[in-house]
Order: sequence, then C-alpha cells, then structure tokens
Amino acid sequence: MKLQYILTVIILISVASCSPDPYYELLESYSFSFKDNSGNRLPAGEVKDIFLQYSMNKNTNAPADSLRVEFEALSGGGSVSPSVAFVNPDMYLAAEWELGTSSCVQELRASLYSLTGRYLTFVNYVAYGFRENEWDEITGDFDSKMNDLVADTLNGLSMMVTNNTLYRQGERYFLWEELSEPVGEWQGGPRTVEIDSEGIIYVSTWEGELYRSADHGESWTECTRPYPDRDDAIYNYVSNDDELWVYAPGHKIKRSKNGGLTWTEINGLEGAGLGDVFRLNNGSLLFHGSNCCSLYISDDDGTSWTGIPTPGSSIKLFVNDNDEIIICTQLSGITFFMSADYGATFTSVHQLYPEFGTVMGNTFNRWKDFYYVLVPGYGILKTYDLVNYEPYWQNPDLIELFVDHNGVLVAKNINNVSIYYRHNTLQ
Amino acid sequence: MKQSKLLLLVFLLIAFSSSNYAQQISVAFHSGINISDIHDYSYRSYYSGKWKYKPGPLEGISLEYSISPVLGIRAGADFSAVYYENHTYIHSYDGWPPGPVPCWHLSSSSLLPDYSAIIPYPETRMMNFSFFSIPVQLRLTIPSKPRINLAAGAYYAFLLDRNHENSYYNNDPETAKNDLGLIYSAGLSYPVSERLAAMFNVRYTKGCRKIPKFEEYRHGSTGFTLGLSYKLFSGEEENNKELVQDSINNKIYLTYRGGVNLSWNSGRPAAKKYSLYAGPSLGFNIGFEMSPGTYFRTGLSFERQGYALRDSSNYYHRYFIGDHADYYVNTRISADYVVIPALFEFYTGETIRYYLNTGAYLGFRLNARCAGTAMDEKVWYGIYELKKITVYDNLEGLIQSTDIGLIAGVGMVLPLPGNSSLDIGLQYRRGFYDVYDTNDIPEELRPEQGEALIRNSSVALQVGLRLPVYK
Repeated sequence: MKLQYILTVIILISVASCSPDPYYELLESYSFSFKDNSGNRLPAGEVKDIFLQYSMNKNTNAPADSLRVEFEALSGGGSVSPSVAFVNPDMYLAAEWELGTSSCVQELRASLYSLTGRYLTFVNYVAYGFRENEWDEITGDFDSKMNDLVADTLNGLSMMVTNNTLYRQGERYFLWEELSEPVGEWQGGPRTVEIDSEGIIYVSTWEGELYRSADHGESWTECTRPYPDRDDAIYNYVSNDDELWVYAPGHKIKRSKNGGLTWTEINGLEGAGLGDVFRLNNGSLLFHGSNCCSLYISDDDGTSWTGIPTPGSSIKLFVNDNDEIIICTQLSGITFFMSADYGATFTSVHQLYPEFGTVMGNTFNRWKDFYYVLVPGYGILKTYDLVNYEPYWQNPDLIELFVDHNGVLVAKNINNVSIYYRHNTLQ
Repeated sequence: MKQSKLLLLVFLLIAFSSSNYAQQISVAFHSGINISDIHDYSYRSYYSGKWKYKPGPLEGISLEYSISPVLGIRAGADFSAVYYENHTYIHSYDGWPPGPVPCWHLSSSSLLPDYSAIIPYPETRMMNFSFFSIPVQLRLTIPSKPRINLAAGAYYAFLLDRNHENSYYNNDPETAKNDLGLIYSAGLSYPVSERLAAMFNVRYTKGCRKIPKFEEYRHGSTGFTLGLSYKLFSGEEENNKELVQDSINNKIYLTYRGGVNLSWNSGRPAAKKYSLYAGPSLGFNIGFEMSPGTYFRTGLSFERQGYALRDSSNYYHRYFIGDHADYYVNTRISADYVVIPALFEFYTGETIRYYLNTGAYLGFRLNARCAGTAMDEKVWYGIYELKKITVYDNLEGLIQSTDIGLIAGVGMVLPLPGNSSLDIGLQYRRGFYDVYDTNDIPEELRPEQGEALIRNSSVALQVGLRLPVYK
C-alpha cells in the first residue's frame, strides 16, 4: 500500500518535471515585396510593369510551395493583368498594371494565399497617375515642401527648390532631377530660386549666399555676398528689368545691376521689407515691400522714393505689360485695385473674403493669355484682363502658386505636406 | 488575545488526550529527496516560464514527544538543498527579435505583454541554496496500520551556501542569510518491532523571506523521505500494545482513496470558453460516527484541478481578447491543492452501504501552472509568420492561496474479506469565489459582481480502501 503511494507520487512529479520547456518554434515565415519602391509617377492610363518577390525565412522547415497572388486595384480605377497568378519562392512574379484615371494616387494590392486558400498577408504598391485638366495631389513626397519654382519658357526649363535641394524638371512635368553638383556643397542648402528674362538663374541659400547660373544650372558662380557679415537667409528678388534686389532684416535693401557682382544700398525704403519691384515703361521704379502699406515710386532710378497712398492696406503689387498697376489690399477681405495712372487713382476691380489673411507670395502667374492669381485662404482666381476674375479653384489651404514652362500649375498646401499639379490641355 | 486562546486550546487538548497515557519519546532518522517548488508570486509571473522541479538531498534527525496516542510534538534538525531552475522562452531561429522574449518582471502596468520592455534574458537561470533548518511541529496520529502522521509547524533555516547562475543576482549581498517558514508533513509509519518503526514522510515547506530581496520569490520544496523511528522511553507496557486486533475502534473509519478529478472553470461569463481537465485525486478520509448512520467526515487529499482552454485569446491561461486575439491557445491550466473537507455523511443499507455526504472544504493551493501550446500567427505588411509556442508558465502569483467551497457526494461501501471494505464514491465540488487574483487587472476589466475569472468546479470519481482504526 505504502509503495503504491510512493510510486504514484514519484510518477506524478516525474510527469510534471518532464513537461517541455517554454519554446518558440517558427513554423512558417514568408515575406513579400515589390521590386520597385512605391511612388512611381506616370501619366494616368499608362501601363506599368510590376514585379512581386516572395522569399522564405531560411530557418523554417515549411515546404517551399508556390503561393497564389490576387491583384486588386484599390484606388485609381486601374486594372491588373493577370489578376490572379502564382509566385514561387525567390522568384519574381511579373504583371502589368494599367493605371486608371479616377484619382492621382493609385493603389494596387497583392493579396497572398497558400495553395490551400489560407490568407497570408498583403503588400500594396502606390503609384501616381497624373491626369490632364485635373488637380493631382502629391502628399509627403520630396516636392511637397516646395519653396520656390521658376520657369524659362524660352529654354524649356523649370527649376524648383524643395527640402533644401534644387531640382530641374525632367522629361515630364511631374519628374524632377536633383542637382547635386555643386549645389549639394553649398553651405545651408538652397532656399530660393529666381530667374531673369535672359534665363539667368539665381539661387540663395539658408546662409545668405547667392549663386548664379547662366547655363540652365550646368555651372554656378557665387555672387558677391550682399551682406558679408550675415550668415543667415536673405530675401532676394529679380525685377522685370533683370536687376537683383536683396534684403535682410536689420539691413538696408540692396540692388545689383550686374548680376550680383556689386551691390548698392537703397535708401528711403527702410522698414518696408522686400516684396515686388517693377520697372515701368516710363523708366520709373515701382516698389512694394513685404510689409503692409509700403507702395513707393521712384522717378530717379531708386535714388529717392515717394510713397503712394492706397485704398486700404496694400500687401501685394503687380504691374502688367501696359503699366497698369494692380494692388491687393486688406480692405473688406481682399480687394484688388487697378491704377492706370501710375498710382494717382485706384479703381476697385474685385473683392473676396478669404478664410484668413497672410502674406502673399507668388501671387500673379501668367500663362499665355490668362493670369492665375492665388489668394491664400481663398484659392485661385483666373483672369484675362486683371479686371474680371472668376474662381478657378476655391481651396483655402493653398499658400503658393507657380507655373512651370509647360504651363502646368503647381500649387502648394499651407501645411507643407502636399503639392498639387494641374496640366491644362484646355484653356 | 488570539494567540493566548490558541495556546489555551492546545494546552487543554494535550491535557485531555494525555490522561491515562504514559508519554513516549522517540528519535527518528530520515533521508530522502527535496523537490524544489519555488513560490513565485511575481507580478506577471505568467510570462516567467517554467520553474523545474529539481531534486536535492534532504536528511535529518528528529525527536518526537508523544503526549498521547494521537498527539505529539516533533522537533529536529535537517540539512537540505534546493535547486531552482527557470526556463524562459527562447526562439528556434536567430532572427529578430533576439533571445528569450518574455521578461521576468515587466514594469508596465499594461495588461498585455509589453514588448517594448522586453529584455533578452538567459534561457536558463539557476539559484541553488543549502540550509540547516530546525523544524518544530505539532503531530497528529491516526492509529491505523500503518499509522498516519500529520504534522504542521514552522521552521527556521540557516543558509549554508548559495549559488546563482545566469542571474543578475550573482553574489547578491542582499540575499537573506536565513529563512523562516511553514512546514506541513504527512506520513506513514509501520512498526517493524516493538520499538522500531519504518517511516515514509512527505513534507511541504513555504518560506517567508524573499529570494533575492528584489524578487517576489519564496523558498519552497516538497520533500520525500524514508526513515526509521526508535522509541527511547515509553511508559507502561500496555501502552505499547497499540495495534492489537481486538482494539478496533468501530466508531471511526479510515479510507485511503484515489481517483480522477474532472474539473472545469465555472467562472462566468466566459465559462463556455473552457473545457474539462482531468487530474489525480489522492488522499485519505477519516470518519467519526456521530450517531448510527451519521458520520462526520474529514481528511486530507491532494487534488490537481483546473481547466483547458482551446480558443483564441491574448493570454495562454485565460480567455481574453482585446482588440484582436494574439494566439490560438491550446493549454491546460491546473493548480495543486491540499483539500480538507468537513462533511456530514449519511448511510443506509446493510451489507452494501450507501452514503450521501455534503459539507464544505478548505483548499490550500500548493502551486499552479499553465502548459500546452499556442499558435501565434502574425500578419504584418508583407510578412507572414506562424509560430508554435510551447507554453509552460508558473501561475502561482495569479491564483489565490486558498479556495473554499461546497462538496456533495454519493457512494457505496462494499465489504471485503477481513476488516477492510471498498469505498466507491462520486464527489462534486464547487468553489464559492473567484480564485484568480485580479489585482493586476485594470479595474474596468475586472469581473463584475457575481462573475469570476476562475471558479473551481470538479467531479471526482474515487475508489478507496477502508482500513480499521485502532483504539
């Protein structure tokens, strides 16, 4: 009797002690990826070849079966051929994805199943299909933080500064090539890009340098530093008579008539900041600072300046080919005034109520016969004569608007995360 | 106040039982093995892996002073060694994440495993201790053949040596140099001559001091010893002739019984998620006749009970799904109890006697564990992984140390040749309350009033052998 109990207890303890130790055993492990990185940019409707790779964790003992792949266009309206296929380990599965036209962002999903039908996982591939006559939004990509853009229609060139990098437009308007040599060596990186009527490009950096290229960005020379004692960013501008204007807080505005070789201080504009400068047909200079209510005219090539009273608080200046002056004022929202007599009188031509007020950067953009005018907090207006305006795209989140050398409108979101392209084939 | 009452009660019991009995003194030598059974109360002990039951030596000498045939005092000196060994989870491949995943102690208050806090630990950690201990126990003897000796008391142990391997506590100066704990034992003693008796003893110890100081572990072991006891002094010769055939006490019966416990978790609302668990039931009962056909039944038994979980869950040991289930779990969760019943038993019948009993029980949890497998299917972006996890977790920190409940049973007693009989019974037990310690569960996730995460329920089929008890 006693022996039976003893044996039972010993057996119980032995059984408990012999239970397996805690352990992780990897039974199956697969990973899938597309050969190309997501984010390719193509014209909508174009066919893209895609390659899906399937690899197995080498330490598992699972059989290396082929897997079933189901392709599905999640957004954009495209289609994939074949829609169902099989992929083998360590091999690429090729398929053709025809981009749709229902949205710019197009997403393709490859869902993976075992041969028994068990769902395993999925991978997505995102491409951008750029459409005609539609606003195409790109979010979170390199150009979403665009600072500046210039276009040279004569030479078929557009350049952009984004994320402290200078880009030149590639074969298509949505493709950009980084200019790394020698731009990448510049202290602080590019901040702004300007262009004159001869196609000479000026790039300022975050450390107050100014570079000049007369060969479309192939080579660069450093201009004389306008503020040698300053290691911070400067404001620069190229007026319609190809003169360079620069400004830095705490300094006087300077002007260069020789492409940045020498600089001359401008007196009489202290406290105005630097906004827009136009040479009028009669030789006068018309100036508006970056600060409010700073419209000045100079009849002696900038030696002395006379303030021009405006109805409301002026914040933006534009002058058309006929020397008609357009100012934007903060009167009843934003009111556009026109003056045909060099600022002696102003006539209200358009008025609107933006959702908020802020500085107006690159506001007036001309392509062929039309002007596209961006009002931050409202959106884009379209006008033929700068007198009659029509809403073009009411989007209060837009902060900047540019036109490239192909007439593609490029607008930037105020949050610095999105950029919009619109390629107009219809006027 | 309570202590003085208890002392008075003990004194009266001794005085009452020792009347008409000449006291005896005997000396006993025992030797055997000590199976380590650390008490791990650490927070999140359910990710601590498996504490192995490892044998170590146990030897000692004891002096027993018998105040009466049923009552005595036992004191002694023991040498013992306990070897604790813990196995955590390790990966079968050298990929990411590296090393054993679960942590011994995670500081996050989150319910779910906090993988950000995971630190690669060595797969095996060992702590070895040797002690010289002095146990003092009060002993109760059931005069049968063999005699059953039950004892309970305390011990004080001096640390002789210690050793830590793969531990952060190597040469830890904070390790306590001594231990104070409780000791319970049960054994059989069989007289081989007038003064000499052979003994088999099982003892269970539970320390009070933390080892190491910063962990929630306490010493614990279950010892099995064989030994010899020799009566040094005895009173009148008649008192030594205890076990004679004509001195059978017909008002008391003793049943050694064994059987199978079919247990389950009847805690609501997730009771349907659990299934049955089969475990052993071993012990003895002693019945005292109160009136013809009515007995008071008590005893001592080892019961392993629990439940099985085969479902999706975030935990290996209980059903819970948060946002999504982490695993498909196939585990058996069990706890070992020493159960003391207090039953009223009613008999009918002549040759074959049928009985029905009911009453309450008090269960002392010895340890608890969760073992089995869990399938971990992870689908990340572009990645599919299927892992099989061999689960073994110590759950002692999660299960309450006691369980109280109701017992109801039926059975029959068949006469066997001689003075023995066969007892076949069916017993139903159900706990009164939730034995899951919900302290580590956020208040909003705790069971509501009337609900329970784990409530013990079982049906045991038991077969027993009734032996005579002597006066």
